[in-house]
Amino acid sequence: MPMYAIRRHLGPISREELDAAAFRATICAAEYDGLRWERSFWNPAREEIVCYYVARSPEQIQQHSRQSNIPCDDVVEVTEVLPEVYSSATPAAR
Amino acid sequence: MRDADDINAAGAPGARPGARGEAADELPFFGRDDQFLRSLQLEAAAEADRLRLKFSVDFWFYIFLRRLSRFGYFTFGPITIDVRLIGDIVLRTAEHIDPYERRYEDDFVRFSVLVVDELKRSGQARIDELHFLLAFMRVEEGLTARVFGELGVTHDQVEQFARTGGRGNAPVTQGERLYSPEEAAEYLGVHVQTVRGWIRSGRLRASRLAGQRALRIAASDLQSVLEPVEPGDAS
Repeated sequence: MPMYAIRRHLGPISREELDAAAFRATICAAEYDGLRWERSFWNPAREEIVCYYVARSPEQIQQHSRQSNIPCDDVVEVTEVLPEVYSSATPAAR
Repeated sequence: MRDADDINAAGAPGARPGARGEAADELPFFGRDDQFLRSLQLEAAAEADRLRLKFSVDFWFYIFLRRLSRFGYFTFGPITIDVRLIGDIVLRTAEHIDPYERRYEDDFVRFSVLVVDELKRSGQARIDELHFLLAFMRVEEGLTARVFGELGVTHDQVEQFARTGGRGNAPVTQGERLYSPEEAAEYLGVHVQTVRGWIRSGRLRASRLAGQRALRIAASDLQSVLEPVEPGDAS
């Protein structure tokens, strides 16, 4: 199933409000077959968070965001690239 | 229309739930079900869509109480709430929407901050039913605030009740007879597995002997599973 990067501009937000948004997103995900939150990165300078979800479609991401009452400004499909793959292939370089 | 004073019925039959912490290992009720949040969400969503209702805090409060109620009442320590009456009020007053428009409303967004705050205050790693209950008690608007305002029960009282393993400050009366599950089953005329099931579900309060697995039930607690029969309902 594809992975998506979701950019959410949250504006000025407290840590508690950020945690609460994560809580809503988590419980709401129970309704979406195949939807899985992988990780998120909060950018305080831009006051936005980029979330990585495995999902069936961008529409599923948008619907989940809307039901969770969390902004969803941009959804793009991405491919994960892990460093372990390359570091284990070149042990001598370390 | 029933008066708002009827919301909280005193003396209703109800379970004697346990609490989290060490006591929760003995009297599972709160914090034992990892699927709690998931199943609560699914139940709330299905019911909201069926009734075409907004996903407000009041609606969630009703679903939460209903899920944990027994015989129409939610009971936890000093709290006893007539869940059917809450349901009547919610169904009568909730705003209707197209199911496609369903989302956590803004009051639920504020509520979610309270739930997370309760989680942090407790020092636990996972959100459980008690976090929800205590967060509901801190909501300052709507039906939830009205119910707890009329109950006159404080957040601290409920937290204290939970900390003391559901017994509050009331110890087993000195000299009171204690029953093993087998003896309790014989006394009540039921199978011992029924008694153990009641203890697991929190319906029947029990204690463990210090450092042992053995359970003991106070004589006075055995009365909690006895409910009066309404006239004409003896079949």
